[in-house]
Amino acid sequence: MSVVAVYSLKGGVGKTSTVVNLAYLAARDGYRTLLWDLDPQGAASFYYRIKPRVKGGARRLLKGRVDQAIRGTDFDNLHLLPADFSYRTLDQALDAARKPTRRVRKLLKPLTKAYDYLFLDCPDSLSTLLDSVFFAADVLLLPVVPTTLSLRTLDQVRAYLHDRARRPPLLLPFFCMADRRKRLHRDVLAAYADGKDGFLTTAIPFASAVERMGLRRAPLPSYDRRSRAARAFETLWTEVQAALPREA
Amino acid sequence: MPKRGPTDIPQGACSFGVPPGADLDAVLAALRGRFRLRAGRAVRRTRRYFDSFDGLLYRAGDVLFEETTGRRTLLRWERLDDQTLRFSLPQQAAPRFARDLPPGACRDALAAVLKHRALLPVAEVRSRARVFRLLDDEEKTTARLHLETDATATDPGSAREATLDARLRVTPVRGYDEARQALCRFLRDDLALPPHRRHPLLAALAALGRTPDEDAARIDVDLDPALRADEAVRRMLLVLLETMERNEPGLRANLDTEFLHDFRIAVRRTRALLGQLKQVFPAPVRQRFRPDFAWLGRATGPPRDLDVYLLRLDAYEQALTPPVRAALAPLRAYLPRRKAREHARLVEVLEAPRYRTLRRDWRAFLETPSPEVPPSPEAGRPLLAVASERIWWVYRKVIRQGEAVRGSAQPEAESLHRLRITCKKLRYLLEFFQRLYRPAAVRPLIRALKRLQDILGDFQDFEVHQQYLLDFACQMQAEAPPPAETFLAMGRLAAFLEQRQEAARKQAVRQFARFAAPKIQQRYAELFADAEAVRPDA
Repeated sequence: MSVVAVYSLKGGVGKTSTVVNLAYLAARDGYRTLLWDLDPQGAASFYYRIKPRVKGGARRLLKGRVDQAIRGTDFDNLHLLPADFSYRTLDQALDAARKPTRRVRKLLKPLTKAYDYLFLDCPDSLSTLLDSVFFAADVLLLPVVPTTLSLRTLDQVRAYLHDRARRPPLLLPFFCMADRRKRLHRDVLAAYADGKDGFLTTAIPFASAVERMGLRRAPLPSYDRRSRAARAFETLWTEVQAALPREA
Repeated sequence: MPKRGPTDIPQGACSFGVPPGADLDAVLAALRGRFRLRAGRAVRRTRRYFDSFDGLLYRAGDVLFEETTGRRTLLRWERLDDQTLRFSLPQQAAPRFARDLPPGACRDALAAVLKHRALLPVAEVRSRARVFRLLDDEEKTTARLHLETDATATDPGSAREATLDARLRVTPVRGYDEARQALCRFLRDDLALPPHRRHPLLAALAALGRTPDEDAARIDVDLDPALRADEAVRRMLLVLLETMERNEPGLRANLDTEFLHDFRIAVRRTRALLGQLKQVFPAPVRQRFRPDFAWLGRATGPPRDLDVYLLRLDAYEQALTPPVRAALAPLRAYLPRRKAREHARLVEVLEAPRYRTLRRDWRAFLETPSPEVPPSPEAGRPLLAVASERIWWVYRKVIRQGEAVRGSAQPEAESLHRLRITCKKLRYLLEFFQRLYRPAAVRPLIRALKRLQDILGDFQDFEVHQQYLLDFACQMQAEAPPPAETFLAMGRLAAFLEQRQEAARKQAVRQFARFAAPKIQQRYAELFADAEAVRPDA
């Protein structure tokens, strides 16, 4: 099982739409896929029409009853582990647990045989939970808006991982919400076009189609696969697969 | 009214037959009246089912198929009983062997079931499929209803076709089992559609008039201990002939290594029966058939040796350093070429008049009823007596030869080889006749013998594989000389094989000591030494 975490220190950069669409594409390709919505806001669960509620909440989850909360989505091969509002207290619960950093990895262990891909939608803070997610993930996918400020937060994440992570995941930043009408966006995209700093070459465009996903409550490629944004997610998925460390 | 508990609908997928002539539109209208259904597009769907020649997946309770819906093809692996998904992969070309899949859990699991066997098409089902999603208040899918119509099953061997009845199949969505159960109950109770749990593959095979395990390897023959020996042996030989004939097409087409393996074993067993129980048939019969089967056995030797070499090469290479391994690449490339040549030679043998005549005459002889008056005193004795006597005789020969091996400080390859051959004969006899005795008594004997045979087999393989290396080197030199590094690396490989052979030699002596343990000796004596005293179920 490959574990792909999608994370952003900054909110509203298209993190959830990325994880929702990539998980859909993995399942559509035939892979047994699980999306774990770790964000207490429950946006990914909302997109997949699943109630953001886990019986027993964060504490029960940490005790290892992960698989009971898993739900099938509208799509074949794609399951979701919903968010729960109590996830906002996951940090305290983790801090109280033994070996908090290894906790998420341990929770995932029983799932490794059942799924080929696990996508994690992470909350946007740096915390004990994130340390644990970083420890469990093979790849950390980072959506970055092509602006100077966003690039700065990327550096912060990099520095954080460098200092803290004992088993750092492969860092894969990519540009998101890229708006070609904006000069700054164009300049930043041009500067990173050759994969500088490990950036993937796909940029997800700023598109109303992506914003409207909230109305359809479905992943974009499932109903509009020809749109520019859907095609961008498609190439992003190809790039992520190619970058993933191969299973032995 | 019976209580409708959660248990009256079994787990997993459930199918409902739609009788021919039933009004599908009325069924759908009734469903819509009760449930919130959203219809997907009707699509053409093709499922191609695969299994090994001997039905290994089926026997493991699994179903593997390639499913094409529109332009997309997936490889899916389900459980046979409740159709739960085990694996699913994007698919470009149908895999022939487990090793053709991308590395990962699916490949490992498939390799564990198939070993060296190839996947062959079992059946193909083309249909028009439409998926209806059962929705809740959030418009979330809670169960799926698959309507399959205009389905045709095709037998890939005979290209025979059969039309399948329309069917509705309910599949669960994880975490929403109540919806699935409600849907199943409605179809069963309110619409009175007959439910069945049979996997679509089994339904397709049934329509084609086939059963899934018709090709399964069959070696056991029901034996009556009181049967006349010549008649019993004749029946067993007929089963072996059928095994040969069943494996012949796959062997000719070189589909995988196991066709040759099974064919060769059937030939060997035939020779063992003809040789070990020679008194039950008149001399002219033995003289007619024994040389021909020996000839056939010899013809299957070299291609099988090459197969074993190729199968073992990976393991051998693991013991060498990476540079030596790299230098062996020309050998790796040479072996399949050589295998192809040996295979072509074997096919020539199978096409030779001598083989065709052998097959025809052998079958004619085996199918002729035994003469009423036994042609020899041995032929007329009960099978149990003849079998026990022979097993006891061969067993004592194993002990005799084994003691000679144990007595020498450095047993020679020749004497270990003789011991191996005698062990093989004993093994065949035990396997042929185990049904005559208490299975629980014979099984431990076979296990102990097998352990000894395994180590003797290893010893022999290391010996033969060293000899082959010189032969390969000469041939490679003559065809397209590889770099000197390759020959040096082959020398290293030979040295490694010699080392392993030495280890096997010592192990063989130790293993024989275990085989000759008093407890096992006693068991042989009890079962076989006094045939008259031993009766089945005694």
